[in-house]
Amino acid sequence: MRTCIACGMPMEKAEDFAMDDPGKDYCCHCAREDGTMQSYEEKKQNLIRFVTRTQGLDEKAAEKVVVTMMKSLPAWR
Amino acid sequence: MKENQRQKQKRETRGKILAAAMIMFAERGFSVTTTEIAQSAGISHGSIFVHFTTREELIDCAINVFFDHLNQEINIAAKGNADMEDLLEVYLSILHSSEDFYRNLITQISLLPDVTQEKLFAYQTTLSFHFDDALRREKEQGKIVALPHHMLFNMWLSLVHYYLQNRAMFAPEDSVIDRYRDELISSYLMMIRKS
Repeated sequence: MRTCIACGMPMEKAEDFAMDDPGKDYCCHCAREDGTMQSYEEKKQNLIRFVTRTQGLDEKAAEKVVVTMMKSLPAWR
Repeated sequence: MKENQRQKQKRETRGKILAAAMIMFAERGFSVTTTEIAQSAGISHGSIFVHFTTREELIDCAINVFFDHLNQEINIAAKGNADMEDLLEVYLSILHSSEDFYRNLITQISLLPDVTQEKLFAYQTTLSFHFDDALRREKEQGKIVALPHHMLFNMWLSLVHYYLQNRAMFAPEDSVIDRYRDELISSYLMMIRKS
């Protein structure tokens, strides 16, 4: 199963990929409206919001979790 | 590129160390020494550090192996828009196969380095992502109580963790998950679904 280089989400169906394009190596959640990949800072802020919303972490703790997570992803190594 | 004999041996030794470590972490917790792990793996103590720079790196790799497996299975289960019950069942089934390892991890996590604690919450994003998705679908159908998603997620983890951490009181001679799987799932669903 292919995974997004920027957030690690598995990508299977065409709609999982940026711009519904399986030729892309990042997912629909990591693409900007024009289809380009979000920058490190944009992705970081989005992931902090996601972790805070779904796990309820303190914002500063969420940032540490996200920075640690991003270090393991191919796009940000 | 084809693996040569030396590379094969290196990979196998690394696997042997990791397997021995995971068994010992499950049986005795994360305070076991690298000397004990080396003895159990049948290798010299120094060999461990050829493959893992520090004891902490070995612990991190073991936790990574556990969550890779858990998250892969959760991703597979969630492929067909699994409902909440399916998700909880898969989650407990995978935990069941490494119940002792996971219980020691959640019990001793505060004694491990900060970065390991951060990784634990990072690994949990796979479950929280699919949890969020399943909750959103069931909320659209008017099935779920009006509580924030993080609270519903943490309620599930708290329930499971409480039973696992207090195994001596809930299932001293059994697997906690074997004994309480159905009750945990049905009770949780009753709490979060509108009657």
